Amino acid sequence: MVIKIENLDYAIRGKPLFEGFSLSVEAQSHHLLVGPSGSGKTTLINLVCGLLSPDHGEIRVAGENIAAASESGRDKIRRENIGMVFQTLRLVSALDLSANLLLAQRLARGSTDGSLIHSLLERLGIGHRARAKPHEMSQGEAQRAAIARALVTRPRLLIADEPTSSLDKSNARQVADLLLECAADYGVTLLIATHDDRLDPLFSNRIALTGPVAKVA
Amino acid sequence: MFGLALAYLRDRSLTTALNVLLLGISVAMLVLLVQFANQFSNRLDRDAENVDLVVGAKGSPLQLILSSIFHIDQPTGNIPLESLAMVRSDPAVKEAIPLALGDNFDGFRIVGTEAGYARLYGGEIARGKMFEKPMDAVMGASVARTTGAQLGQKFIGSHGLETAEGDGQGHDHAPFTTVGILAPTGSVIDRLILTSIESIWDVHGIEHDHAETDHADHEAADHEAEEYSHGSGHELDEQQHALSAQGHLEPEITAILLRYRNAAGAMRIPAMINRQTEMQAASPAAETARLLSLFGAGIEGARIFAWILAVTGGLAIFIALLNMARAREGDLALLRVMGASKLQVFGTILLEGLMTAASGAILGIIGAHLALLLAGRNFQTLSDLGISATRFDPAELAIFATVLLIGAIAALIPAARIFRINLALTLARSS
Repeated sequence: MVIKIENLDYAIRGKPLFEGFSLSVEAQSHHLLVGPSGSGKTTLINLVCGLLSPDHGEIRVAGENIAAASESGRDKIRRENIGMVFQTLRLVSALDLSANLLLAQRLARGSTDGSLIHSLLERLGIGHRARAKPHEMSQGEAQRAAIARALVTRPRLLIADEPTSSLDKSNARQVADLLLECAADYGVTLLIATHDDRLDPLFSNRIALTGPVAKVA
Repeated sequence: MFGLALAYLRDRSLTTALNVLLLGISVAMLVLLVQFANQFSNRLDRDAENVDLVVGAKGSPLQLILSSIFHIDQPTGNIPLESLAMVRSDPAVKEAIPLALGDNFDGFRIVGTEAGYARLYGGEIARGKMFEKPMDAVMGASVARTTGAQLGQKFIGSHGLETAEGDGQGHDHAPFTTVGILAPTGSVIDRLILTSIESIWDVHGIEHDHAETDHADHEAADHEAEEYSHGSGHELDEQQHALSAQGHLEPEITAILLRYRNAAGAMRIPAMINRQTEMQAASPAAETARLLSLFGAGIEGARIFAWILAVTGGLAIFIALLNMARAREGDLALLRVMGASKLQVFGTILLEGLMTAASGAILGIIGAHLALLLAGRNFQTLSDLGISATRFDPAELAIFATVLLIGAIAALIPAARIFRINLALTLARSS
């Protein structure tokens, strides 16, 4: 299991969002995390990534209990195992695409792999934009660049939070296809949180969060 | 992280350049003040350290010191040769060295004196020999270097103490011969041409006995009580031309440099000269201190202004980094998600402050030395004062370190924001 959650309790300002929530995600599987706004999709992602601490329960990522780890321990689990893609926050603004990927590798692994960066950019169709700054890219290019940044550290788990919400239909489909293809190519477990119905037909595994209190998935 | 900090600075290059410039100006001012004040003060101390008292014609004591010790002003007038013998006859006087000024060669003063004058400054002959006969001349190291003078070469002195004064008034009838070149001393004699007193009299057509200064020495007692009256003329030349018309050309000198044999001399001799003769006695130490205190107030004011500028530069860095930290909260959160620790992100912002401050400090230090170099080439007074552009003052290191500290303090609060960032909230806001 890449993600294993057991008996998770989490409340926001006293209002329970998760009570006894459990979830298992197998390695190299692809899941869509769906639910209406406020159902806890982003909160669940933040808990899995160690950006939030649960009130109770265990969250294991690649076998390590991120919920119980210290802050530096969480940083380590996150940088060694998880790649994240967000809706608009894609790259470090002061660096060009190539420098962003080099920085991501250096932070995660302490070394760089130029050939992986090159092949990944070519695979995502943005090899010619390696020297472009984030503000010089189109929305679609920037989101593909964000996927490259997340994958360039060879994570076990790729988590995307609303990766297609700001894209038009054509770009949304392209980004979703690329996420699936890259996850398959690089053997990465994929978890996408979205309320974008356009992605439904592409995924067979769905985790549905239905309301303010999600008890069992 | 160094590369990232550099990228952030480049990303807002205009703000960075302005901050660097602001700090650079303040550092340049501080370095210039330090260089000027220290080199000037050191130079004054060094030039005056072996002279206890200067005796010369009545007038401004500061002018007497400036003209006779530092050779950067006009003399107050002349005094009769007999005064030298009178001073030498005093048992409290260890050494009395006469000076006769009035001419220059290529802007360098020709000083009629005795060999003991060079010894006051540790002057040693590098080539040739010390002057012995009338019209022998010994060049200071800077004079020889600038004029390219060689041993045996003849040159003609001009009236006045600066080049412009002497234009067209050369003493063609009495050329000097370079017989020696002094080794560099880092003192005023590097910029002087030394010759015998008799040479100066010969140049100006003043009749005198051979070895007149020695002769005067022997007859000291006979002249002790004489009083002398002088006009407002500043140079041997002017007065002697006037006297020449009347047929009287008495040998004179411009000043006497004294060293005391004991402390009692310091108490008695200045008072005796100032009260009982028509001459004045001025203490180099007292006049130098007065001069430095006059400069000191101005320098202190400028120094305070420069530090205010430096602090303003620090505030500009603070505002720039604070705005950056606010505007790029998403960036900083993304760095954390990518695996950077809080300390690494904190260090990146701190590094931006330090790099800006270091760039400003380096720019300022280089700028100040370049300014000194240009000023030295264009303003003769600065090189006369021995202000050098290549001398590094240890205080510059202290200025550099303080400016770095200002940069670090300015970056501290913006950098500390990273410890308060709620990652989940920031990512949610940015998404």
